[in-house]
Amino acid sequence: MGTYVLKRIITIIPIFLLATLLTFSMIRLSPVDPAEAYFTAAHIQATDEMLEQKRNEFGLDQPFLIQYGNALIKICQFDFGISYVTNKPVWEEITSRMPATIQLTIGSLLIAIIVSVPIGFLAGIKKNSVIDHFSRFLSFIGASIPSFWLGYLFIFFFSVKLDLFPVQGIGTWKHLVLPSITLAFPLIALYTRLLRASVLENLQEPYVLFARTRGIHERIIMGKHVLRIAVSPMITGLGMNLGNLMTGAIIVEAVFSWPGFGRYFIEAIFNRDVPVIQGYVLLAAGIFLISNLIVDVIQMYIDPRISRKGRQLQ
Amino acid sequence: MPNQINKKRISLMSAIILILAITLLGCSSETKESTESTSKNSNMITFAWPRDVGALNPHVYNPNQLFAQSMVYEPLVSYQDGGELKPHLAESWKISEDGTEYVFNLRQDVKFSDGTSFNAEIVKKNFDTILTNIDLHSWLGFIPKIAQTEVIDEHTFKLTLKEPYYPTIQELAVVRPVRFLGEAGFPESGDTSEGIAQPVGTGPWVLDEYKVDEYAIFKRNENYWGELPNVEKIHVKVIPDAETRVLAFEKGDLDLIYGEGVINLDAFKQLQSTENYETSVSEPVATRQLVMNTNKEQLSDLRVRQALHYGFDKEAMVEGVTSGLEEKADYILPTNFPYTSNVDATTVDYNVEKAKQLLDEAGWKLPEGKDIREKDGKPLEFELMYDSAESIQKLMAETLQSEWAGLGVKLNIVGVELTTQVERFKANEFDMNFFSNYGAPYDPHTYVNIVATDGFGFKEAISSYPNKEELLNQIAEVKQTTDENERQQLYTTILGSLQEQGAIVPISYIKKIAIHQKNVSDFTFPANRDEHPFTGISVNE
Amino acid sequence: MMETKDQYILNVRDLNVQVKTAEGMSTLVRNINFGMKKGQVLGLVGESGSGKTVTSMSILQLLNRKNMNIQGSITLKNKELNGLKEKELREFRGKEIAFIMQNPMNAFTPVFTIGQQLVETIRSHTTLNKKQAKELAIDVMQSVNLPDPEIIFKNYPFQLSGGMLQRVMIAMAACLHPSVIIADEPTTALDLHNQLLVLRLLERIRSEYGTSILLISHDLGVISEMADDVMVMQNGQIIETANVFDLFDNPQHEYTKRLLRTRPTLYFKKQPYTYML
Repeated sequence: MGTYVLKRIITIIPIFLLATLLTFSMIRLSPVDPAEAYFTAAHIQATDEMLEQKRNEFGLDQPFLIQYGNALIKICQFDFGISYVTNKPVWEEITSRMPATIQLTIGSLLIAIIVSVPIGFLAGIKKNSVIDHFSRFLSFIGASIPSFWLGYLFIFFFSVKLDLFPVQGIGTWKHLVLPSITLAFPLIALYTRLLRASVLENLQEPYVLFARTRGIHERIIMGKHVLRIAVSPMITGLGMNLGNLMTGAIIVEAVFSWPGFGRYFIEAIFNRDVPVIQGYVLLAAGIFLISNLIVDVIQMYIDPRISRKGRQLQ
Repeated sequence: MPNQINKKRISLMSAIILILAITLLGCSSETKESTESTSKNSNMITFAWPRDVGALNPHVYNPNQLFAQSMVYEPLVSYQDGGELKPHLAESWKISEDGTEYVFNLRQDVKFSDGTSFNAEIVKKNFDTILTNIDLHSWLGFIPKIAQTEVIDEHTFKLTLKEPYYPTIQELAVVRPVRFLGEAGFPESGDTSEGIAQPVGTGPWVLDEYKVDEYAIFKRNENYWGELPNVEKIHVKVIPDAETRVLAFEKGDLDLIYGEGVINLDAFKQLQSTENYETSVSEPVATRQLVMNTNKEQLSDLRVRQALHYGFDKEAMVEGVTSGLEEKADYILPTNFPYTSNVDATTVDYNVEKAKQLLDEAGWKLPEGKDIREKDGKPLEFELMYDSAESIQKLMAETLQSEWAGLGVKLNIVGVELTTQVERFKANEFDMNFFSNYGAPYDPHTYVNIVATDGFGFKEAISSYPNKEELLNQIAEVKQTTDENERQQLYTTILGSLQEQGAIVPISYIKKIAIHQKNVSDFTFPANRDEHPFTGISVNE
Repeated sequence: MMETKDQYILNVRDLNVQVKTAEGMSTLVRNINFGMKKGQVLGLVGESGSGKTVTSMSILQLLNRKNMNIQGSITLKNKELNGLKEKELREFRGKEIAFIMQNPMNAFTPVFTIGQQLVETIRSHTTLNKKQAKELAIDVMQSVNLPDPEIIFKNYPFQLSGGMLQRVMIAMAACLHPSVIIADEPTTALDLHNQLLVLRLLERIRSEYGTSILLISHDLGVISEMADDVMVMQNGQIIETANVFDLFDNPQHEYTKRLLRTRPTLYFKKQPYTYML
């Protein structure tokens, strides 16, 4: 299994390189002139001379490959450039805001798992029961309500009216609750349904019948055999969403004034802060790749077929 | 069913859960003091702002927030209601006959928040560091005209200009960059554009606690030379979302909401109607204008421009779109600025008949069976661009579109990003555009300056005014003249002419709004559009 | 053919099963009567849809009680199974009555090893601890001549071939010495060689432990090889019961005759088996 993991890690590298090439090219191809963007962000009226000078400084007159090569070397050293707006290193700006986003991501993942697994599972085993109807209702709501509206709703009821949680901000575990639930809701909607469908599918499988004929307790069949297999597609899905969660918690971060890097990214876009935008995109690519890898590793533990296929015993 | 693989699985799961739990707990263990609760437990006002206050560097711009900079740093001269320029850090000043030499007598009892003295040396040091980055600051009229800065004696400072420029005193009132940092705030290199060491100012407030993107708490400067604020602390919470600000206010987490466009109009009206809060709307701070590009053939005819102005119900549109929060504007600049109260321009009232008549006179007639007027086979059609993020601009654009359709004019509207709007305006790539002036204390001189300068979009837009040369000369002169009366006359003529020529149509006066909890009193809007609103404010527990 | 009831290990009397449909109750099987003695191999032949599966599932009481009506008596060693509580039924399943499924590739839970599932079965019916259960499992596999039981124990189902899995399933069925084994098409998914091994194994178990085997198959060759007696089902009813020689030499019912006629090659193919065994 170790070799499998190693192989996967090695395949990440070329994909990430491709991501860097794409990001780099797209920024160079966009109509935004980095030199102009720099001066606009710094609030300076630039003369043509100053623009020329800045372009030289940025190395914009050199051939594409050399520019790309230089950028790549810097990326390996975690040097993503300097923010046009704050003049601080991009890496520093992004990493200082990462813990908050990570906290929010983990919080919502946990909530998503804790809520969807039992509900989805029970909805599948007890089809058409109260829990099943509830799960379908939940999925419907979670898929149709936009997260900002849900966020406002939660704030209004649980914070303003009931005073159970703070309105916004970060600090104590209480601050984490509402934003995590808001962020988790679409996930819950999706994964409850997914798990339910997966469970229903599995209930038809021969191994369930076989286990029953062996006299295994229904609870063990459901809770151990079925759950283990049914949960697999959900884990894959969650892993893919991990990337989304981290980079896309923008709306929730805005509504709850959560000081993560989603918020910061939006500001960077408005300010045309090119190095930050570039750094963010690359970071997002990295996160997606790594989270997929993690999910694959977890899958391997859950479903042994994945790593061992091809080693059949006769 | 334990076997080796299962054991590994269990330990992996436990490891993951452990890591997660530690991360969560570790991150949340920063228990804050009860700065959550409102001013009810200490003499503090909690205020919300959409962005982080920034580094509090008095000499730089974005992302520093103006109101915060104005709390900590003070100007030589302050801008008050009606355009009155009052002595502030400078007790008095003398201007030479030729208008190029300014001598300031500095107030003598002023200390920076760290106890060091405010004197001519530090004033010069501040000016000098600003001048080393003149490109950054050349937007402020008097800065590129500075020839020399001198220390005459401990409390006397002299500023010499290359040519006379009367708005200098008024420009010294702006929030940035010409306010003063104490010695300890300068970095080793002496160049503040690289950053400051500490935010040391002379102002009534000092930065106490600060967490990036979360909050900034200012405490009262107990050694302040002027009137000590009634409130001990100002807690600024960073809340980027407008709805969340309203919710926080309703819950009681905020004492004051203030600014332009900080909450949407519906929310404001709704809060107002509950009668649980105090609401106020300020005097006009700027004029929302419609600028027509006279280079465009259809718009080069004065009668067409006038017709367009007569052809829409301004009062109804402003009332409808802004729910009465803005006021119908009759003048290009609000009349509460220096020199703007006496402008000679005809007020245009809604008159569809007159509009149609003017269009007919100009040769734009409505062909049989068609809705759009034509002249020489060309339709009377043009495009209005607006900032897609500004709902007021969008709604007004849509209103104009439908009202002018009634005259037989086809208006195409296009929403663009703010940066694009600015770029296209500068490059003269537009037919019609929305614009608003900077407001106090920059106007009227900054406005007319923009109108006259290349590369801002205005000069090109008015290029087919018949009296364009004369206008530009007058604008050049008004900056330099040292005669108060002459100045007033020139402004009256300039502003009147700009308006009469019809390429700049005043639509509405923009105002600031404020809502506060009932236990907050003595709130006043600052005269300087960029300054903080905490002067004189008090809160009762 | 009627022997005294006591001699029957498994006795099915007047079994009728109906299912609730949109139009009312529909009969799945009707008037099923048969008994199995100790060590007897009873063949059950029929096409798909004839009711074979319903019958075997009724014996195991694994039909959905909510929409099915099961009438009649099913006794195992004189204990009535029909209508028995779930908890008690579980004690029977896997221990007194074992089931062998048609497609061994699907029968096992794919994410647990063979060993885990063996031990699971053993421990749900005995008080053995994990170590003891493992030893028992490996013993059983050894005694039925499965190669490298230790390795099989650690393998996942997908790592084994169909034939091997089927033999493991049988070993698992046998390890708790059940009175009855219901084998549902045990050879259908296998190639000839493995079919042989499987049948051999079943025979071994029957002779060593005296287990009664209900051998369900549509393969007449297999039936003719292993069964002592044969029941033919059509449309939910048993239309003929006879001992194996009588059935093949003198089929009574039209349907039986037709069945035999349509599979002449298999009927003849049966000859080689005898020599190989």
